[in-house]
Amino acid sequence: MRRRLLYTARPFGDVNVTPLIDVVMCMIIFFLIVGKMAADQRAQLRLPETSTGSSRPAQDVLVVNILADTDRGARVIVDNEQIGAEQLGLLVRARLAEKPATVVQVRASRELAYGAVRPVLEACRAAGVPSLRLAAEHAP
Amino acid sequence: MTRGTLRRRGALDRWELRFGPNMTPMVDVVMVILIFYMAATALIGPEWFLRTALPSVGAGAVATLDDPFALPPARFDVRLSRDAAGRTIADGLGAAMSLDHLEAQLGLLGRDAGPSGVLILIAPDDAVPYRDVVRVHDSCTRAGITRVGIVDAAAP
Repeated sequence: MRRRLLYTARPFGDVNVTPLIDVVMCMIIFFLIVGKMAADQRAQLRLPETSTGSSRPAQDVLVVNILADTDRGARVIVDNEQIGAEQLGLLVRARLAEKPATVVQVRASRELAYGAVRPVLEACRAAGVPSLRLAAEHAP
Repeated sequence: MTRGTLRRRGALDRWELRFGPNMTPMVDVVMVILIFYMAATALIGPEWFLRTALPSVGAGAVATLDDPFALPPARFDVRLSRDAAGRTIADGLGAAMSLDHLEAQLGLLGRDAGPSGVLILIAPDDAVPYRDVVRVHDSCTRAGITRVGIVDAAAP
């Protein structure tokens, strides 16, 4: 009796690369999205080092980046936009009025002189900020 | 000649007809997405920070006490400036000293007075490097002094 095979098992001649391409595309897209989300608030700069400090996240944080600038000494960037000290004071007041629990975090480059950071601190002080965070790299 | 639209089905087609589409690649993709999302967020990570106070001018109001009979914390105004050689020196805990010496003095102060017994107000000059300001703040925190603020050196 001739047995007829119901399922003829033919070996696949080629490797199906479609899932590999899908995986690579997903990896690329997620790296782009996550990198963009993280880079929105934090500008690329070298922070001063600290061996103490805290890393506890806060609910509402206003991140003020101060980068070294060859022309003007320093530039202040908040939410990817460059602003002046006066605008920063208004922004901080508005943010505190909207969300009183907002924490101001200052991320200043380690190469800066204090004179470049002082206008930001003074603007925050004038806006009524009682305390703020100075961002630093953890170096135990 | 084929009869109507019937076509010869291969092994893969028969498998999918009986068991549905193969979910393994989809599960692999989801797992890879999760792993890379976790890796990316771990690399970015939380930032460390030092909490500093910004007392107003006329910082006699800095120490607010609930108990009127409690003694206010001992206040020290540490002035940071640059000497002729370009080094940062600190003044306010006795004679002008280097930051290393200041760190040792702060350690003694913090040990003797306790975390709430001392208030350090850092008043840096504009020429002082910002990293030295953070270093002094770090020294205070390491000495156990929690009440640290930054004031304007030009303010009275």
